[in-house]
Amino acid sequence: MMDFCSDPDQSEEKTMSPTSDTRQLLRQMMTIRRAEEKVIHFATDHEGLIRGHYHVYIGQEASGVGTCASIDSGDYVFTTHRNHGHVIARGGELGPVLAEIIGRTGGYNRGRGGTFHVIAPHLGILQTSGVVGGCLPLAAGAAFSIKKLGKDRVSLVFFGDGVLEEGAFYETINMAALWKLPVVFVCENNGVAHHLRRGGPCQSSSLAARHLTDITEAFSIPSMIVDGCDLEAVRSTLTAAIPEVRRGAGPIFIETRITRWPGNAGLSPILIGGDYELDWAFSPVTAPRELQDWVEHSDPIALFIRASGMTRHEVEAIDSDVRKAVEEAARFALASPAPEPEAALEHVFA
Amino acid sequence: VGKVDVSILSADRLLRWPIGGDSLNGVERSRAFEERVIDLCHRKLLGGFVDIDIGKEGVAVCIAITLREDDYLYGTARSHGHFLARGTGPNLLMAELADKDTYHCRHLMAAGRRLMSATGSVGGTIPLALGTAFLAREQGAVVAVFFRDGACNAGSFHECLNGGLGPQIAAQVQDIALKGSTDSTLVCSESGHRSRPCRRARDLKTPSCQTPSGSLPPNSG
Repeated sequence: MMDFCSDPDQSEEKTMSPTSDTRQLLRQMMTIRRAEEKVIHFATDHEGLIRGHYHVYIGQEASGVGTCASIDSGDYVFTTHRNHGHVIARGGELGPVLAEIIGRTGGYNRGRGGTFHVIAPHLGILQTSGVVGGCLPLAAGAAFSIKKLGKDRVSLVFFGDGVLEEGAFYETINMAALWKLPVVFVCENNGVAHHLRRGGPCQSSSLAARHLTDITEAFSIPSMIVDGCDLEAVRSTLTAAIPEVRRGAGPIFIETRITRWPGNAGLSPILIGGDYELDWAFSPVTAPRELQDWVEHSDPIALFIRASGMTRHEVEAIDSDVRKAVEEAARFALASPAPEPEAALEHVFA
Repeated sequence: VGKVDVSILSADRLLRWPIGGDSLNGVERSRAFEERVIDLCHRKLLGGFVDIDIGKEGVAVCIAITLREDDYLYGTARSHGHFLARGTGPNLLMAELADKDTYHCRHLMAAGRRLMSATGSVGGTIPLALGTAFLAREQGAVVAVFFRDGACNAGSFHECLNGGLGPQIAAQVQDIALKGSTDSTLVCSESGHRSRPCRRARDLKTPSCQTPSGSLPPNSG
């Protein structure tokens, strides 16, 4: 485990600031996309490299990058089983991230965490959890410490829509609202048809309520729905809302509506048509048939590129840099040894 | 099968219910029973902590007489009145309270009358009621579960309302501000009028109503 007492403010790595430019935002999304492709290659091309199940963040990049662009380096972040993208969006280095995913000692948790627990306290990422809703009470606890210590921070927690079935969710939002804790609840609702992303009735298959936000509004929590495939929408919504949380007005709830990447339809992620081609972003009809609708309406990277007016040359330059960085990180991860069985009890602190 | 006529829970219906005859006897019997319990406690003939029902006898009686014999009922830590209203003999009930070997004031049960369980844990019987509702749905019966406003902050309340999809389970919230009891204005995050448990239930598509309360004298214990 990393040192939990380290102050994120003292970290050498600075996460991106709200003024980061378009190129930097695209670079971050591309980095997540290419790193996740590498993770899928790790799983499919090398038997036993990733033990057990894993989850990739492809298709959700705008939600994570837009959200992390709207908070400060000292803020706390809690995330889920689908955490790789959040850690990279927060400024995580690719080498230690990939090494952790395949359980190597070069990883952020020396290979003890694996894909479910890419925890990086020096980035303010205090915990991830594979338990549905498992991080929500922890995020409220961190927010309680912020309030008690009088710090100018927020505690942000990512989770999926399934969490609204969990009792822990209700107990957490009630206490966060009652005690006006600085929590930013970011619900990544990642199974929404593209025409419903900007709003409208969108019932979850596992929740009786008509809207997820009906629930949080009943607890007097300001609640917003935002198109989670639109990076600027995510960033501007959160950038406008978070200062109030920081000032002590209490928690907010944001539902980022995301359309599922077709490669995530099955039990394990599949790279339909191989690695992502930049041609697809500029001309969706060139994508494999199963991906065309998603690339046209729901791929956050394609939507961002088309909206930004960036040239093919500019995008290629960024992608080329990103691919090099990912390859280098993959080499680092693969060269890093697995922990020795005799070392299993090292770093145990409780 | 199992579809509940939620109008049985409407406030108007409860208020219009003729309070007299058997109902009045039920209220009076419950009050007299609890006064006797207090008396025995003061004389140290009953041990432990005892929650009494004084002040809300009417709710128990009205709910009990709207239920059929084959309906199920779950109680709370404060359930003597629920049991009496459902027809449990006061002698048996008092015997249970007084039995020092198996003293279970908060865990009364009379399965023969479909009084399934009472509990001291906040919201503890709500999941049990939901489970029973699966059976009741097959039988064309309903399940009534009593709980108090504090239970509306327990995760299990929300999980059950979500799982129960409202109409399959008849829930009665006793949102009564009792002295010495939890006041929902202190533990619920919503601001405004005191209909918060109902608002939360409504958002989980559970038909809800609030019955006036507080006109009865406050509980002293």
